[in-house]
Amino acid sequence: MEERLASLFQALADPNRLRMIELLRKQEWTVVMMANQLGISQPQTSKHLRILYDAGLVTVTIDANRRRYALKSQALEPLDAWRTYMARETERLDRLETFLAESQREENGS
Amino acid sequence: MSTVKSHVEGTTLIMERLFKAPRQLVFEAFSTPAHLEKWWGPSGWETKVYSFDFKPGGIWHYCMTCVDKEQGDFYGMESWGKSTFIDIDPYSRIVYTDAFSDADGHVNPDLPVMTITNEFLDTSEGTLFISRSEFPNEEALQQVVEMGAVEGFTSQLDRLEAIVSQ
Repeated sequence: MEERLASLFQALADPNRLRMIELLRKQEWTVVMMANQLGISQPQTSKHLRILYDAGLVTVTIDANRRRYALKSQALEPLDAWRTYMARETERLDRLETFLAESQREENGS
Repeated sequence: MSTVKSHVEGTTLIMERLFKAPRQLVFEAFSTPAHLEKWWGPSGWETKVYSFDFKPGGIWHYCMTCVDKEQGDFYGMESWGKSTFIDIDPYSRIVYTDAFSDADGHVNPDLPVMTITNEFLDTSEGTLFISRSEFPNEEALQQVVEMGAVEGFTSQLDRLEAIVSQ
């Protein structure tokens, strides 16, 4: 689990790759389309897509000599589940903190 | 705001938090039903404790009800939990299992049971609270998260961006 999360973090820790993920959430993209959309070179685009592919975040379909990239729908699930659970438990501890502060105030009679 | 640290080890989430409160009070927040009812449930949800037998093998049966109309479909929804205490070391440690149940206390066999270990430690700055939530496997984590999606529907991307910008 930790290794998977670490590789996900690495793959996503780049503004261009995050933008790519955002675009890939909506539709499939070729390198040329993606490069134009992001305003970066095609070799750079290919490099970033390769990193996302290696991290298991995207799939590639070869179609008439063109590679179409798509987001793998389950790829972000492990990350998302831990984040959601962590956020929920953190909120619970926030409420506990408020409760503890209030209890101590009451005890002090103020 | 207190220090918050959290990390994942395998299928266990470990969270640490320093509370500026005496250890006895922090422990009692977890071991007194009247206290638990005041802070346990998510905001907009009321917690009612139906049974609380604070000893190894004892049962803690509770219900959280959404009382906030703003929460749309969740309004009026009930979520029953049944925990079994496994080990208790007064003011230091509480170990229990956490399961989904119904109003009669029947555990839902299709949903995962988690094991929670809470530790309470004295430090010069207050009470260090360490909580471990252990899931039987990754699928269990996914199920638990889906069961309690009460904190709103933040998009995956919002969360990703928050992580990356940290």
